[in-house]
Amino acid sequence: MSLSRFGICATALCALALAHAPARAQQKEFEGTKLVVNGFGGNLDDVLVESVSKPLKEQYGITVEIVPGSVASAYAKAMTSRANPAFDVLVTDDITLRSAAKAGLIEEVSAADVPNMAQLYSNFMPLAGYGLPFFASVCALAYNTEHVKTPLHALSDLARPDLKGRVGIFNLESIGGVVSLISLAEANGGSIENVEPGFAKFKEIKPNLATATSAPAEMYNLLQRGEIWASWFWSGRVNALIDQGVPLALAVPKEHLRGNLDFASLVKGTKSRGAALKLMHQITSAQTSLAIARSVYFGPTNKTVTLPPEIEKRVLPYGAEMIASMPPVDWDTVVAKRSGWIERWNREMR
Amino acid sequence: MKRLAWSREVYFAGLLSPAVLSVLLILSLPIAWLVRISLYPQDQSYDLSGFSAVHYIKALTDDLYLESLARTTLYSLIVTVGTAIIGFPLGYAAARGRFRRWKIFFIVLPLTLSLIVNIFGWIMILGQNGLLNSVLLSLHLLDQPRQFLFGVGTVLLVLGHTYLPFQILSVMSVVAQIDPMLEEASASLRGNRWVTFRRVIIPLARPGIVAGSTIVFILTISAFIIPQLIGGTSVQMYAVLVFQQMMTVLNWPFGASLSLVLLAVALTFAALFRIAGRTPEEQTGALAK
Repeated sequence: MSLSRFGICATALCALALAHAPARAQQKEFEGTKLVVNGFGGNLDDVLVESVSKPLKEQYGITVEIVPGSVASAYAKAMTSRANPAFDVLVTDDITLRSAAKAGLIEEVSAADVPNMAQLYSNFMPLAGYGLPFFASVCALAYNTEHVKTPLHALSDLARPDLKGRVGIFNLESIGGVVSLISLAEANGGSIENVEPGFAKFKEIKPNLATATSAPAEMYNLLQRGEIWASWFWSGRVNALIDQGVPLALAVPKEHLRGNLDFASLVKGTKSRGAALKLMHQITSAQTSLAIARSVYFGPTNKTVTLPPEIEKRVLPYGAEMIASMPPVDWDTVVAKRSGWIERWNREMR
Repeated sequence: MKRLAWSREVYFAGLLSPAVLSVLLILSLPIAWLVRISLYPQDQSYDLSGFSAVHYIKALTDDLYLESLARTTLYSLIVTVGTAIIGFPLGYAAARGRFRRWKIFFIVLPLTLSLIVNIFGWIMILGQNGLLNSVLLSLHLLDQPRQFLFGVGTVLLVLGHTYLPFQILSVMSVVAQIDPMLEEASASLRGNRWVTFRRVIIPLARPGIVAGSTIVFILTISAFIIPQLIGGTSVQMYAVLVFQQMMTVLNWPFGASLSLVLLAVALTFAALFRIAGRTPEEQTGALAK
């Protein structure tokens, strides 16, 4: 009697378990799917885990692996693993996006694939569906308010004599350096085709330079320690330093505001296309844009985001007006001319 | 007997094969691939086809790259000689006497630190708000803080400091095998300390010094993060130029050419070191043949 009752219970439990398993699988569309995407390391990846990986896991059962590193090294890895893609979604920047599209490494998506695409600022989508922007970053002026008594207003102020030996800028290996060259050239009668006036300004700044680096971590460290007093640096990073209590002020330069976009691109040949599209949808959502702006102060790319008043002045670029005022950078020309610019820098700025 | 020798050879070949295979796979194939890439005529990372030596011609004729190569080689020689001079007595002392395990521990300790942490540590010491400046200012040896960072001297100092343990360990392993009796024998034959050092210790320790120097030289000539982070604008070492082409300009064929030129220089010097490091027996053996 008791045995048969046990038998009935066991059978019922088994039946319940069996019935439950397919039910759960049906609930989560991509249960067991794993996506690999390249990240940046540090705070930004933490934000992506919270606002991209976790919701995707909960909603669809997708596991997202974020591989930290530089965008350029991820691009190199993706290029050499095309038969069996190392990434399902590739994070690209303004330069690698174009190379990746030309190389056929990534494929175009539409608003039907990624509904959030319709909410993105259109002038942040230079190659339409090849790269969906998920944050915008600009370089601005940062100066130490304890040592620099006269505020800085322009990039060319970095040549001021009171800043001797205390200036840090990006070299042309960094996109921050490239946009500074273009902005300096334009503000002094040149253009992207004629960067002569830009280099002339660089030479005026040169005696003030402590260093010209390509590593944001180094610039951050030097500003934090007060080794350099004035810099041309990513505004989000400057805000992070201000939050730590470093006496810095952030100033929008009177030259045009320019910067870099980071895009999510769908890798051609990914084995998990459906799940990858969900990731692209999530990473371009208003929720992710807002989370990035809140924690690392990079500009939202989703038009529907409204920033809370305490950060709306600190996040650059923000707002339709400011974004419309940013002149587009002709990155194809940059790609074509950059190696010449870098060689010139190597010769003249030593 | 013959059969025995043959089976021993098979045995050794079997032991070697995993290493040989992995070296082939991990080292030779990527280098072969790099050679192929360097011979494409294009200036980009995609749509590569054809053959051309154009990138090698540029690498070997453009003064920017030649000058950087010459400087990089010179810096590497300075660091190598410097670490040999400082590392030999340290390695010798570490090999002799008590507490060898502890000595090895302290020599290896800096290598366990990430290079970036190491570099940021130097920034804290040498910066204008750093330790060195505050000591000099408080001793009134300086009126104003001086910038010790971002120059050739600093780069060489940090390179030397970073790679010194390799030299010490290499010297140490060889000196540990030198029988102290030989030094005593030299003393009993009225060799003073200098004679013993010059005619007994140095020749016997030479393989260690040469091996250590080769490692330090190769690490220095390919150094990239240190010159990039603390070289400021004034120091342009060759590996940084390779990195620019590979990762920034995405001109892989030119970057590959530059890296192979660097590899050729590094291997040439490694071979020269090898010749310089031959023991007296090897030299006479070579003569006899």
